[in-house]
Amino acid sequence: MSYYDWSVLTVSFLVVLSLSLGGVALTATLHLVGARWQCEIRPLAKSLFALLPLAFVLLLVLLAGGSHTFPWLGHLGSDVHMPGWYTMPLLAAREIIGLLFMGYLCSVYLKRQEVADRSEADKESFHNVATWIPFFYVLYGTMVSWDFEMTLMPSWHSAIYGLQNIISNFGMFLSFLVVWVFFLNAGGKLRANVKDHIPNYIAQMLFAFTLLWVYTFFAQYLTIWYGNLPDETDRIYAMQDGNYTFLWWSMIFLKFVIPFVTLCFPGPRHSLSAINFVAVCIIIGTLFERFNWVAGMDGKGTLPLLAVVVVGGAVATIGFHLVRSAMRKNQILKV
Amino acid sequence: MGKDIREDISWAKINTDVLKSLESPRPLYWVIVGVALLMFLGGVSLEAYQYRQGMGVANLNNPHVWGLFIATFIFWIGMSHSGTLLSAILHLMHADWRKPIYRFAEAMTTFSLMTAGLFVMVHLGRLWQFYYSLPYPNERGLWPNFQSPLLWDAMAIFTYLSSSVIFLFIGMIPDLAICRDHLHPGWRKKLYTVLALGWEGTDRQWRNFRVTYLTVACYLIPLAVSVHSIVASDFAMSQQPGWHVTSFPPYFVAGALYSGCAAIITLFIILRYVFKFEEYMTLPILKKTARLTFAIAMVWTYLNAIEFASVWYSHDQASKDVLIQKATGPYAFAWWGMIICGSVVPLALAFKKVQTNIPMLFSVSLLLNLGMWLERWMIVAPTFSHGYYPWTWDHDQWPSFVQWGMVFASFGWFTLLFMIFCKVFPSVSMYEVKEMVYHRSLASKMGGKGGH
Repeated sequence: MSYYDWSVLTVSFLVVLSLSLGGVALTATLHLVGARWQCEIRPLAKSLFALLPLAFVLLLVLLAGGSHTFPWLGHLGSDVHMPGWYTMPLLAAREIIGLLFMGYLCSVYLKRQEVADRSEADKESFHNVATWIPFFYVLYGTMVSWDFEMTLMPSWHSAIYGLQNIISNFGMFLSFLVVWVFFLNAGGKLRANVKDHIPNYIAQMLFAFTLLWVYTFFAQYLTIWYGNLPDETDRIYAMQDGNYTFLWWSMIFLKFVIPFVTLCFPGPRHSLSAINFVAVCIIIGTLFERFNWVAGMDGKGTLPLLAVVVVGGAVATIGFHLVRSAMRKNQILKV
Repeated sequence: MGKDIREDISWAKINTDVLKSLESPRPLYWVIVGVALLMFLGGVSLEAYQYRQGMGVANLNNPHVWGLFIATFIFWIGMSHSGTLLSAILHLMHADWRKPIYRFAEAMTTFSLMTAGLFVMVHLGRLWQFYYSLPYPNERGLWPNFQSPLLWDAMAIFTYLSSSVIFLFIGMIPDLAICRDHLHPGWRKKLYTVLALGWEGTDRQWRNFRVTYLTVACYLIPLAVSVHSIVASDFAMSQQPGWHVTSFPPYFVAGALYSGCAAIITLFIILRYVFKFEEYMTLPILKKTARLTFAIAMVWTYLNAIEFASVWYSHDQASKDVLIQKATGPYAFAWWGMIICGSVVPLALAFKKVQTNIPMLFSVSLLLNLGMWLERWMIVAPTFSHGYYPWTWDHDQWPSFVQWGMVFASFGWFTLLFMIFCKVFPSVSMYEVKEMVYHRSLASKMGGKGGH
């Protein structure tokens, strides 16, 4: 398998991880700001967390992949700082411990959420765990984005990268959620349908995350373009003008132009079809974005269509079954 | 913890209480105004001294050409984000607890920008040349460099200042009409009559007012974000060690919201006492503001951390040297002060007891702002004192008394403007507080809490 084929697996891991943790992060944040519609999406978020074991398996495969996943392995130049930080044992240790820790924290959160209404003490205990979720979600997300994307090219670094990555992935999670809710409601699969106003709330959040995404994207791009230092510009120009130029410009169109133009008007924010259209655009745009950052470092890659079909299809199928069985277990689905 | 505001408070009492603040504050008000005036006059004297003697008295020389003047300029620009946060962002998010306190936050925005603008002139030294620094093309034979972030800066700040003044004014119109209708004849009544623009409270006026206010609020948010992002660009677009950092734009915006929030807490507590606003600026609202400040403090801390981590990871030795020099060199006390005041002290806000303890909150808010001022100094000064060229490394970098005096005076100038505003115009929005009381009592009668 070429590096570009292998990149599909890396992207799959990043997407599955974002979906599994996104629900917990969203409900925890909604709880902290006192948004009452969190109750509507709690069961769905809990079911999505069932994807975490799949993310863990993908992580192990990626770590086992060695230089297929991390092209710098064994090729670190003498000019690269912190070579000790970028060795396989330390990398594997922090990634595995990080994922296990997040899994533990989120499990505790979900368990305490179930019994939060039992007593004041339970409520307090749930609130305490919920407070920690956003902190660790952001810290862990930053670490993953550094290890699996930013540092794939060791000479390239950008302080804002972790933040931009988290914003982008969370936007994708929200998009997935709204599309998922639409299909579940339309198919009459749920015991109790998610209320009609929830997609509108998510659409407002999607609009906010679209703006945040383009802001962080542009802040990074402008600073690098203006500084015009080859160490920084080479990677950006390779993605922008290399073989994946189509992905690059599609990403901007799908993640900013379409969502912004659509969601800045109140009408589309209340239209299910418009919201779903935008959400699908954001999901595809994020997949393009993740793939370009992972595989487009030198701008000379090919489009691994077969790998997308095989790996993407396998991961999606396993994920589907995991989430469906979790939904059954949580008694969300009609029997 | 009780309710944000009492639901049985009558509309007439709201009018009376707020209008009373225009006439009879506690004696502490006059003490604050007196001290602020003295501080400001001290600054005027120093400016006159610098004007006569030249910029040498400020100890601004190569390589330390920016010093405290520009650091404090950034600080005041940052402070101006408080109004946008409370008025515009929270307005769009339907957070109605902002209603009793947003007016003074908007005033803070305007006066902070006016204070920041002064530093551009003070730093310029040759005041008679200020005209030439205005970036417009160009019958003067000068062609501004439109690729320069400094030019973007000037345009953004002027736009933000004018927009903030408009936003502040529009939001006050219904209250100005109340003042016009309730105060005795005199210069105030004439002033309010002019400024109220013939407001009668008709349906049409209210409808137009709502649309205009919402439109300006929507416009102000991206403008505020762009202003501080552009100020960040003054640094990030360069290739100077310690400045060329991609996270600077959001870092500056987060820092601005942070210092704005901290200042809101400080002024909240002062106004609450001085104008006897205990019924409107309540402890639950203070608690919410403290929580908001805590959240923003954590965002700021995260952005700080990723900046340090990124510099540490990178192979840009010069930037790494600047970071090490910040932590261990002559600025170490200020850098560690920034970390402690900006990242450690706000942890106190996570505790419920602190969130409603007024003396404690007052102290914490002052420390937070000290930390945020130090942050701006630590952005500007260390890079100059440890640039790419070794000749920059051994120059005296300590700011002279003129620089310190100007910084001190700027607080006096800001306080003076702010306190005069609060005495002349209602610093609590009467009509919004009435709406808040009405909606809360309605929700209470219906047995729900409202919200989403």
